Amino acid sequence: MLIIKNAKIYTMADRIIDNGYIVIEDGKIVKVDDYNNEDLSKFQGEIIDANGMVVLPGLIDCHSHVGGMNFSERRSIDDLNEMTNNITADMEAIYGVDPQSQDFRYAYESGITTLGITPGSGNVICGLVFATKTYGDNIFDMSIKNPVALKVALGGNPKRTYGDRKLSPSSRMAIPSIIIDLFDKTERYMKDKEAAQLGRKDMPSYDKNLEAIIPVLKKEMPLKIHCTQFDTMTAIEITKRFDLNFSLDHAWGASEYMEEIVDSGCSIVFGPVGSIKSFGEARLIDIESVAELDNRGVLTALTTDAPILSIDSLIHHAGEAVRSGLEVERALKMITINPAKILGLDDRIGSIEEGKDADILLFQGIPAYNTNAKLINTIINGEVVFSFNAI
Amino acid sequence: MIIRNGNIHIGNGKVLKDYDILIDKGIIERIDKNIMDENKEIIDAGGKQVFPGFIDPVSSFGSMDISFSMKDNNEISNPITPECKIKYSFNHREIELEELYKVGITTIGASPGNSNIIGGQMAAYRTYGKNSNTMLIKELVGMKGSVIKNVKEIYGERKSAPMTRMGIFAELESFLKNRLEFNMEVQSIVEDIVEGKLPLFITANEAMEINGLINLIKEFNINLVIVGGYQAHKCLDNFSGLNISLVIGELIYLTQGRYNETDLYKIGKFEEKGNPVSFTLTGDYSPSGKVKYLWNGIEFYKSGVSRESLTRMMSLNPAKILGIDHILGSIEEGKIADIVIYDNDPIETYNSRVEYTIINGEIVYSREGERC
Repeated sequence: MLIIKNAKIYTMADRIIDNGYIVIEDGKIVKVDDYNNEDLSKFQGEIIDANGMVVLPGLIDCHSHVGGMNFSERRSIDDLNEMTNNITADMEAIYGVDPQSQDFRYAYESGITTLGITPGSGNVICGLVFATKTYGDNIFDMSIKNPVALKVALGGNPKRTYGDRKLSPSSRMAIPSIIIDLFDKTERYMKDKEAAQLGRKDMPSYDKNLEAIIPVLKKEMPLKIHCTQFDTMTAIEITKRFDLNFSLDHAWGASEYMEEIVDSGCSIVFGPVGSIKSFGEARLIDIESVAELDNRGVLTALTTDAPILSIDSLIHHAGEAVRSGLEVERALKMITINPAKILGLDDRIGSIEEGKDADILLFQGIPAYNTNAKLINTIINGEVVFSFNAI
Repeated sequence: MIIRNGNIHIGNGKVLKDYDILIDKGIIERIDKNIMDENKEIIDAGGKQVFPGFIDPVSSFGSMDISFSMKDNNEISNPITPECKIKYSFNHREIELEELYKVGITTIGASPGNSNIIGGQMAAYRTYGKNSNTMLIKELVGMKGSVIKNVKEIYGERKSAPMTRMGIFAELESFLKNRLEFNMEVQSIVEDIVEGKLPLFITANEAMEINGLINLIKEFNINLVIVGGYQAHKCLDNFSGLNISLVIGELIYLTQGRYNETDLYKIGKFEEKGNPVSFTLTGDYSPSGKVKYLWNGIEFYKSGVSRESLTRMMSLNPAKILGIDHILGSIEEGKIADIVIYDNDPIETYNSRVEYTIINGEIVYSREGERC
């Protein structure tokens, strides 16, 4: 049993406890409450005195390529873009991810305890996203859930991959029909399977690609759509046609499509910010839109797209949201409970509540407000995996 | 114009509390308490943080021709192109797009990219103005080159020299020694470089590249500016007795700082000993967006570098590196009035915003949305 006491706890569950304690047992949070000596004395175990510290749930970046991409000088890899076919729905990101990647260490040493790891955006239908803790040796043990979403990419990336080879899509015009035709085909496949189960037809031959799409069409799993600027309307049109759950990832230019986004009921994974402005996809990078999205009830998270941007810049991203006028607590939700909800894992992670995984951070200073807020401890599944003093 | 009651970060690390700044005809005329002049426009900076305009000493902004695949900052027909001048590529509309002045960057060292061993001549520009002519501060503030992998990627792929680091350093040495190959203008520029009158900016990231450069320039009196420098922390001891400045490259894009384990604290300590150290938004291939300028500064601060050191790295040091510190880089009487006013200190808190950016004594941006 591990007890954290004298902590200012940002639970991310609509409560800040000025002086509280947390009891952890078997990797789970078993008790969170205001300080009360009598209650606290019922628990026996190792005690962390968090006097003067700020305690947060582990941070989450739900759009990441950590472990599967690396663009450093010596070790350039990309195991998350299978750019041999514009449709690769059955590609599972989990098989492209190396837990020994140093980016996982940078993640938990910076307070990021869970990542949604997604195939890249080189294909139109890119593959399956999974959610994983950032500490461990075996990605299959670290993984929380696989899959959590199907990744789809609109715009310049698939266009560049295939257009350069004089293949489809070589323009934005071709992209929607690739998705629509595939989903139509999946619907027929589902009907044929149902008919076969009733004995009315022969069972269609197993199609791994279409199988991966079935949960999306049944609204059991969201689409995760790489999307910026005016591609927003393409995304909304397609998802409306099939009545799907979806998130718009990157979402640059969201402020110009605010009404349409709100009406669509989607969630937003905004970022990274910090790219140079240019024409087209990077014309408008409007971090100020996240405050408005949040005001309008759109579930909004922030992403670094790591390792495209350093994973630890997640806190800079939340800080930039604060600079644009968002309250600190709401900005912190965009890197904790909100991405947990987008991953469909808010029953396990994203806030400090009884019954949830003990993924907990101790900070000196308030991250996303004080620029030099210092991470003192990272706890994942109840285990202290990082201590500032140890380095 | 009078900026009243600000916390004035002079630029050298010192702070004047509750002082006024009198600006006349684009120049800082006086810094004092309670300056009285009824005919002047007043900016109330009470409780606010006043800085010299920030300077990014090595930047590709303005010269990339972003809508075309061929970039205007890399003349990739020849690895040695000292005659090339960045001013012929500088598009004021392109740099305006990024609105660098909205985070407080008022000057850049416009610079050729990293594809050539010697890429060409740099120039200092303001980040706001009517056209490329009025934005020009000074031509020929340095000669820019590179010894990083970008050079091999361009020329080696064509099976032409240089294909290796050996090739790169051999050609760099030839450039410094075989002056007669060039026209008269370039010959005199090279002479200025080897005599230390004109700085030589070379992008070098890995320790072996930096140490190679140090070994090469030892026999000259070169004023060397190492750009990028992600592993410079491993080489600092070798700098002693040499005239070397550092411009650390953008740290966050492609996780560069982390992969190189750049020791920002150690580099900050080097600065505190009086060495010119600065940082830039530009990485190996292109610059990052303006918000990352502060993030990079914050990375230094978080590593334990002093607040005063950060101010110098953002203003006076880059002005020195570009040789324009007699007119820019600090808030001192007689200097050009390039000033940025923040509501809170942007290095200490994310809860900070630019209130005003002033270039040449003119308000070019205010938070209220008034552009003059």
